[in-house]
Amino acid sequence: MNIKIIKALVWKEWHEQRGRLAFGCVLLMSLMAIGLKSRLLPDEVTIYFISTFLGSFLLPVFVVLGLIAPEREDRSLDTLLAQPLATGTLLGIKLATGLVLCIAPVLGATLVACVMAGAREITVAYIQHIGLGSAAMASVLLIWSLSLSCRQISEARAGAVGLVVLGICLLVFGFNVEKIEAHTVLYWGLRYGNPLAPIRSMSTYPSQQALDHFSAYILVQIPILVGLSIWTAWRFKTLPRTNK
Amino acid sequence: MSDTAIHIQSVKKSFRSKQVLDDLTLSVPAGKTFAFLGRNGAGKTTTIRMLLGQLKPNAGQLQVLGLDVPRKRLEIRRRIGYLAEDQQMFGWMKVAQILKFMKPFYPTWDDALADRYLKAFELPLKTRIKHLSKGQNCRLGLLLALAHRPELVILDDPTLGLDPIMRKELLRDVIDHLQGQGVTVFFSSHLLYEIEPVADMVAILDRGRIVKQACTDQLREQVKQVILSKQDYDALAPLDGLLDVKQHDNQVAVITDAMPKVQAKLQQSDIRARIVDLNLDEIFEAYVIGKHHEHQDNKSASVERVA
Repeated sequence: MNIKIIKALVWKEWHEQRGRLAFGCVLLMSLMAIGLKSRLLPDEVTIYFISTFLGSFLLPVFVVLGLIAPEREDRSLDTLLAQPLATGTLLGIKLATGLVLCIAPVLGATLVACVMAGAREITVAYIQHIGLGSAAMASVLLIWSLSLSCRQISEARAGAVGLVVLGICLLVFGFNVEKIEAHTVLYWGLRYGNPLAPIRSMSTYPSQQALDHFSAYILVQIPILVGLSIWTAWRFKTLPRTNK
Repeated sequence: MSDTAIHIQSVKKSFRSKQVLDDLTLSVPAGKTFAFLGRNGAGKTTTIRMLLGQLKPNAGQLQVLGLDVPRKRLEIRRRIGYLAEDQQMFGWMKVAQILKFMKPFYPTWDDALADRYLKAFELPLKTRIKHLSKGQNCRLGLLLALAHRPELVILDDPTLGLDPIMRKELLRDVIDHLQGQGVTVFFSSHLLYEIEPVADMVAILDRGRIVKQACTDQLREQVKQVILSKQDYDALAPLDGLLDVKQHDNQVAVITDAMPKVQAKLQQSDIRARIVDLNLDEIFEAYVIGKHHEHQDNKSASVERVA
């Protein structure tokens, strides 16, 4: 892997995505500050709403629509794919950029929450737990959405795919898993395979159950994410040319 | 260095049920300017995308600069220059920025050569790409395709959308320059008049198959129009290498790609006929549309076809 090539691609992504990164950070951090300052809702609810609902649910959709689709739409991706670049490198850098765009605003909002409301109603450790859980969910949802939307030729279509993925995850989340026989593939799939699964354990913090649940989530998600990334790389490699 | 810059052997490619390339075989000698001609949708861009390793053939083999595609696609892309039709680059980048961005992709990038092209093409370094004119965009694409001193340059209808004067200037200047350096140029186009003065060799692609591959001069010698009377035509029939036949009153205009044989036959039979030289445009039309008529005529027995 050539470090100069990686630097060039990172520089390009930084120039293209820095506006989105700034927007995401400013939006989440300022909303968190306003929410905690005004105290219209309990701190726990405010932090959950901003970190989890805005940060984990909506931010990945916002990120996914601006990562690959605009370059497909203006056909500059066709030019890039004709260069002597491994598709894996290209996709890896796009994915890393997407993860930064998802994680940085959530962590920024968590930092604001810790500074403004740490140990006020809930402990700093609990705020950090919510923040890390939200960042993990955002990252997983981003990879899922990116895998399924990487061939879309417009921002609108990529965003729509992201929303559909989110909708399906929410529907599955609403399904009562306890009705299913425990420790079957379906049970594990529905309980931990869903990108939004950590929500179940977040509110039970601090407990061993929350820790176990999160560990199981990571264990189940890793092979899924590796599989999705390989599948995306293959789909990216055989990307059809965008028609004029 | 291999004597053959591009070697394509029995390549087939289909998209779902649509067969785009059917048993495509062609060979491009190193150091030549090769014109790859075909109508829109004939399979030119599909062939080029396969040469770049962006598409896999369903069957057959491709070699570029002696390397297997798609196994060595990155090595191939480092050694070739490619300019796509209506190539789009990153609009937010300035000309200087895109040069800096592309440089690490090519180990053989030559800054001095890039500067020379910049001056020759009169490209403003500090202007954003989105503010460049179409001609400037095309010249920038050429600069990026040539600045790493490629051994093979693949141009896929690069002058599409440019005005005729700019097209002529660009082709004359660039291809003359590349020919002078011994670079192989693989030029795909359907604008034949722009290729004619610069092409050493020509391949005509029709419905996914090569219908003719020859040196341009040889092609001009072999393919001619013969105008003769209906009686003389009937006396000579069947003529060798018949591509197209048109009848007007008592005169028949025949296009053949076996002119030496036809000429011998005319002399043998002591028949006087008018022989007309054809340009590449007319030759291409005879191969593509002439054959097309033949297909249609099999069904409709058109008056233009002589059995």
